This record gives sequence, C-alpha cells and structure tokens, in this order.
Amino acid sequence: MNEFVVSARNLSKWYGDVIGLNSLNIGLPRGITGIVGPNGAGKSTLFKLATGMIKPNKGSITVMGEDPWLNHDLMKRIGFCPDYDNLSDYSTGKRYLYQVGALHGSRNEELKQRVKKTARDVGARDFLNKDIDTYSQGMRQRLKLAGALLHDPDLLFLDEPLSGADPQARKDLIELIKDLHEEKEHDILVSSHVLSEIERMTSEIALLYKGRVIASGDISEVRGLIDKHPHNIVIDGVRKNALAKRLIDQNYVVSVGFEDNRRKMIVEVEKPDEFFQQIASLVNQTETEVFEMYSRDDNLQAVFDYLVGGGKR
Amino acid sequence: MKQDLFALFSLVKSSTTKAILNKKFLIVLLAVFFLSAVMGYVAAQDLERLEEGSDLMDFFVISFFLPLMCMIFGSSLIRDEIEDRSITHVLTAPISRTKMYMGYYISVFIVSIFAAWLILTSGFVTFFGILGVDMEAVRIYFDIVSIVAFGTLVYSSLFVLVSIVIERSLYFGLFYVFIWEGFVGSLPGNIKLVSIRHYLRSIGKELMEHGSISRYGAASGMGASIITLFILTAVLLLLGMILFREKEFP
Repeated sequence: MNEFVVSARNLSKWYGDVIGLNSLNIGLPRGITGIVGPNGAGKSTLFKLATGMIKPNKGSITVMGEDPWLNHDLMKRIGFCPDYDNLSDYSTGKRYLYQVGALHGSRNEELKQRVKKTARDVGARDFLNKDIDTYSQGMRQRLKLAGALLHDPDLLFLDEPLSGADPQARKDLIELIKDLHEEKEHDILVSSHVLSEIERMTSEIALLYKGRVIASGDISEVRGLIDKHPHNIVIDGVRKNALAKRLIDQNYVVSVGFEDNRRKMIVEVEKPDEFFQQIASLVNQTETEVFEMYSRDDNLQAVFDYLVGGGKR
Repeated sequence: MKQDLFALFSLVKSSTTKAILNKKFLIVLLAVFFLSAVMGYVAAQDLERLEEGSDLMDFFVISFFLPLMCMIFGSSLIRDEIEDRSITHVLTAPISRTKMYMGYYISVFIVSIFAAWLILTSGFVTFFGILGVDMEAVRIYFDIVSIVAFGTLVYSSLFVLVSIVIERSLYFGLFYVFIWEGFVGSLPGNIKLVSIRHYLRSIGKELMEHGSISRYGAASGMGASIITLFILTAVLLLLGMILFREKEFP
C-alpha cells in the first residue's frame, strides 16, 4: 500500500468565483488523521474530491494510490459519512442499511449479519427499526456511520461526524471512532472545526484554512507553532491592579489592559509557557483573588489568524 | 459481474419502491378516479362503443396521462435524490455511473408504465364494463398497452435526461407535455415530426381499427416510427449516461 492513504498535489477546486481548495499539497498517513479548519476552509471539498463526488479543476488527488474520480472499484475500499443529512425520512434505519449493503453487492444472510454486526458496533441496534424521522442528531450520525462502515472499508472519511450531537453523544462517538481504528484497524480521516475534539481522537492533524494546508503533522508540533505566538489571557477576579503592575514588568508580557468595566484584565504575553509557569506565584505575592483565567486564543480561529498572518498580530 | 448486476437490481428495486411510496404517486390514483369517472359518464351516453372507447383512450392515455406520468416520475426521481442528497450513498457505492443512470432509467420506466397501465385499465374496465367487453374491445386494450410501452420507453429516457441537466426539470416537463406535445404536435405540416406523439399515433394507425387514431392522416410508416423511437431512446439514454458520468455532486 502507498505510504499515504490520501495524497494531493497542487489540488485546486473552485465553484464559480468561490475557491474550495487552492493548490493544496498534502500527504495523509495511515491511522486516524484529523482535518481541522473553520467553516469554508475546504474540509468537505477535500472529502468530496477523495470520494469521487467532484473532480479537481487543477492538480491531482489519490486515495490509496488511485484516482477516485469515476473509480467505482475504489468505493469498495472506502466509506464516506458526509457532514450533511443524506438519510431518507420515510425509511427506517434498518431499511437504509439494507439498501446501502445491497448497493455494495451484499445480500441474504451475509447482508443480514453485516447489518446486525455494524449496528452493534456503532451502538445503533436499539433504534434500527424506528423511522429515521424520529431520530435525534446523535442517532442520525450513528446511522450514517453504520452506512459508511457496512462494507468493512479500509479507509473511512468522516466529515464533521460530531456536528449537532449532544455532549454525551459526542463523547460516545469520539470513543467509537478511536475504537474503529484501534480494534477494527480502519484508517480514518475525520474532520472538525473544533481542535479539542480532534485532539481526543488523534495526535495527527492537518490544519486547513482558505483551501490550503497551513500546518500538518503531530499535534504537539502544531501546538508548538501556536505556543510561539502571543496569547491574550483573560483574568477575572478582584484586586487585579497589583497583579497588573507586577505583570507589566515581566519581559514576556507585551501589554496589560482592562475591559468589561474593568472586570476583566487582558494580558498579552509573548511566551505563554513562561507566563503559565510564573502566574501562580505572582497571584500569591499580590494577594489577587482570581475567579477565572483562560486563554482567548485557544479557539481555532485565533490559531488560524496567527498562522496565516505569519506570526504578525 | 454477478455482484454488479445484483447492485444494479438493488438500485432499481429501492428507487422504484421509493417512487411508488412517494406522495407523487397519489396523482396516479387521482388520475385513475378521474378517468374512470369520465369513461363511466361517456359510456352512459350510449355512443358508438368501439370508436368512442378507442378515442377516449387515445386522447386521455396516449396524449395526456402517458407523457404526464413519465414527466412526473422521470423529472423527479434523480432530481429529488440530488436535492435531498440521498444520492450520496448511491454515488459512493461500487457501481459505475453509467449503470447507476440505467438503474434510475429502469426505475422510471417501471413506475411510469405501471402508472399508465393502472390508469388505462381503470378507464377500460369502467367503459367496456358498462357497454360490454368483446374480443374487439380486448384488442383495443392491448393495442393501447403496446403504444404505452413504446411511449414509456422514449418519454422516460427524455425526462430522466432533463432531470440531470435542468434544476427545475418539472417546469420543462410541463412545457414539453402541454405546449410541445399537446400543441405543436397537433399543428399541420411537418413540425409534428419532431414530437414523440406523432410516432406513437403512427404506430397506433397501423395497429388499431377503431377511432380517429386508425385514420391518422399524417402517419409515418410503422417500421419507420418504431425505429425512430428506438433510435431516439438510445440517443437520449447515451447522452444521459455521458452527462451523468461527468456530473459533479458538490
């Protein structure tokens, strides 16, 4: 098998004036890889190109060494769970799975056993006989996942599989996706716009922004990039003035300001790791009472803004 | 190969079932009641049985309900799946795009011919049930069934093609059925040669002995009409397969 499960070279896709992917170069390894990016980054476009639903305008993409466009044999080896709802509302989950299985050439006892096993694996057994239009978002995601898994593919494309699911369903789905790789040995490409969710599934990520890969590799390396950029840290508490005075003297602090009627102090720091090492002792020394402290830049958009801005803020 | 055929059969089965369970099929049932009522009313007028029976089925079934049924099912089957995105699991199945297209076409053909047959049979049973069935009446019935089969073949290929090319394919279908086939097709001169209805009526002229269709003056020969319809079906299917093969589903 090819070194990468998915490779793209100068891959571009546009829809009229809108650019989906822009000269994307990437090699995604086996295992679980998280494709992370804000809305409109090109995650779904990449998945649709990889599953042969659309074709590139420029460049090329290969999935397990093969071109996916009009390659129906490749479909035996891949499973796709889209980010949109593709389930017919007037059917039961069981009927949907039987239909998907039959389209993959499975039938009779084999099909019955596959449906049973897959439904058990994804935790969909209890609601399989109910009408799909009565399903919660979490149930729908499980059913879509079962549809993608039914023919036991080597590689799974899961586009935003956690979107719309409640916190418990999210937690269960994350465990399920990890199990699919660890126990069933599927290679998985999973997309999300929430970095922390991807982090709970895998350490291998690719960050997409405006149709380009802006960082990829082990999450700690990407985090390293993130940690090098100035952070805005919000501190909520009382007796903050003394702390502010001490902080401004530190060489890793760029600026200190207040907002929200002086309720919150915003500290811009150049070296977040040094800040987090020393803040506890500074709080103690100044007898500041801190209610809450968080980095405003832990959200993905701030990371992208930093990385695409070449480190300038 | 066997697995491919089974997957194709599964696509036909699921699409056909979906079309029959769709709310649109209610239109067929309404048409059944409507035609039964009209045929029953006419039958009660004590008219020339075979002539009137033939004319009514020619007018209602061949010229109106047949293209209408093919238009309703042909222009919506793939289009609905594209719009509600349930086509995704078909597109990511290991079936070639050309086979997928054939699968949808066969489904439209089955549902349309079933709908047209249901309407035709209900009208026939009502009309000749009241006025009496004999071998001549049964022959008219089977002649119309044959014309419906030819018509379904070609109309289905046209409307399935339209559904993948035009987003608002239903509007095109309405224009085609009512303006083109209904109006342009009945104009004098050679312009009727570009309507499907002309060739169906030409076949009808050779097959039938009763009604105005048997006296259709502008008819082309039966062999030429059948060949024309087959060629048209093949061309429309081929074109549809090529366009569906190259179609993207963003």
